[in-house]
Amino acid sequence: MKLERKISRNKYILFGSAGLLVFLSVWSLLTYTGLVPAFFLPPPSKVLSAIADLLIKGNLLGDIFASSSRIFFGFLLSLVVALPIGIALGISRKFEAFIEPIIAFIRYIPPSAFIPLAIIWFGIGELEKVTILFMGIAPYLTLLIADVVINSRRDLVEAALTLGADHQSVILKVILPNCFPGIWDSLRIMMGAAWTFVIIAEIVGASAGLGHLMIESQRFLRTDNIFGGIVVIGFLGLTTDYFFKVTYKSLFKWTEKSNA
Amino acid sequence: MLEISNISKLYKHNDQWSEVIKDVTLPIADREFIAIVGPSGCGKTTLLKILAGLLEPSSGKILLDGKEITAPGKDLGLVFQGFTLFPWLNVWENIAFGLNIRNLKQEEVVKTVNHYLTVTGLKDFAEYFPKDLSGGMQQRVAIARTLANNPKILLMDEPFGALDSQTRSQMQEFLTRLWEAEHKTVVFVTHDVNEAVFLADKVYVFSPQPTEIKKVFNVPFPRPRTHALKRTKEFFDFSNQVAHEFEQ
Repeated sequence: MKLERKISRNKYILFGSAGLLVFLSVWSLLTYTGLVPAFFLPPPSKVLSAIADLLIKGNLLGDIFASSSRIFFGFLLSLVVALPIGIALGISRKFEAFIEPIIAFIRYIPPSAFIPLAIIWFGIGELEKVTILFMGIAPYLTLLIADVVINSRRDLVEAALTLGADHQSVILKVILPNCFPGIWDSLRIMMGAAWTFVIIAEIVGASAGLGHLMIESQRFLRTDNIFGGIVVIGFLGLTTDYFFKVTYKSLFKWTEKSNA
Repeated sequence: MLEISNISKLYKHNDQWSEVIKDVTLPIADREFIAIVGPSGCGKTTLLKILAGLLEPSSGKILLDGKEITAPGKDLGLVFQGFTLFPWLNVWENIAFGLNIRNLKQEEVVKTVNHYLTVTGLKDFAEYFPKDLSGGMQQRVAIARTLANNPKILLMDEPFGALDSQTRSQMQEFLTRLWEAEHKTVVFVTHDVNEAVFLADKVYVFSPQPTEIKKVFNVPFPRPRTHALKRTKEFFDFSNQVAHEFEQ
């Protein structure tokens, strides 16, 4: 296979829709022919009507709002903590030695392991959900940001020093702007993980949210609603990913990647 | 006056010390254009980084107007071999970088940047990002960025090494013209003998590891120099003399 740098927009759309078409065909083939019973895998049309029902009769918009706002606050809190620590980790080897073992330790604990503790501490309200998200996102985000900073270009720092920059200007005017695109990419990666954590948090002790919707549907054996929830989460994930992609291009016009 | 006195640099590699630079002493007068030639990997870049204050010598001293250099700063501007423009700044902002760091008055920044944009022929590209410029243009911006900062010494580490031969010739002529107009003290490192002879007043030939000064040549050609000089017999003979020393 040739290592391609760029394909035209039309080609991209062509290949993208072809992939989607293959996926939908296999799904239809399995379900409409009765090969797989609808109880286990409902056909596309049934999933669509389930989504429509949830929108009109159910509380789908409320669930989406609940999950999204939890992600928003969990993500914001993680960012506020991870950004300064990650940058400091990337710059100072002493600080790295001081804090990295702790972060690495927390990182290997699945966020779901914090659920029992978070419930005892904060009850089953919003704070508990945001805590789970924070425990899941913040350690990873910190290390991702630290990695971006560590890999920032040494030659640019040297150039700035020979132009008379002091330590502070090097950090603020060279390392930071140089790292912003990488940090933006880290946010994009962690946004995907945030959707995982919010569903986990909502499966236990929630009264709203997409995770709650899905565990309720399982209780009433509504496979179509479960699939509806999955599709909605997929679309929301796609939307946030697209948001990060588009903003990357407009924020970081100076990068080679913004042309791709 | 830049005095390089008894500079040595040792590196430890697998528990063994190796001497990269051995006791280099070299006085550089104000407004002098000197070139250092030596084979690739002979420690020329190391010496230049020591001069710029980016590396510490193992022994010896660098004195600029009698004061010892211990840290990098604006007095010793360095143009690197690789492309080191700040990619998130456009051409204008790159040239203004050092001036803005010193919080100079905005009128003064605008005046200086515009001057160097004109001198380097980059006026039409002020808004371009580095990624949209050719290699030769990027190095012109890098030179402008360093000169705009008004350093006492301009250090250049094979600045045209990454360019194709045609662009390289153009850049050499550009640098000669610039130097003839501005008369900065320049220390120019290269492994290209012709380049050194064409540009400099004095050419120091360095030996391979450990780097020592092998010989000094005073370049006899008058200024202003143009590219036609490179095709004269005198130039050819003189370069050969230097190259002969260089290859031994």
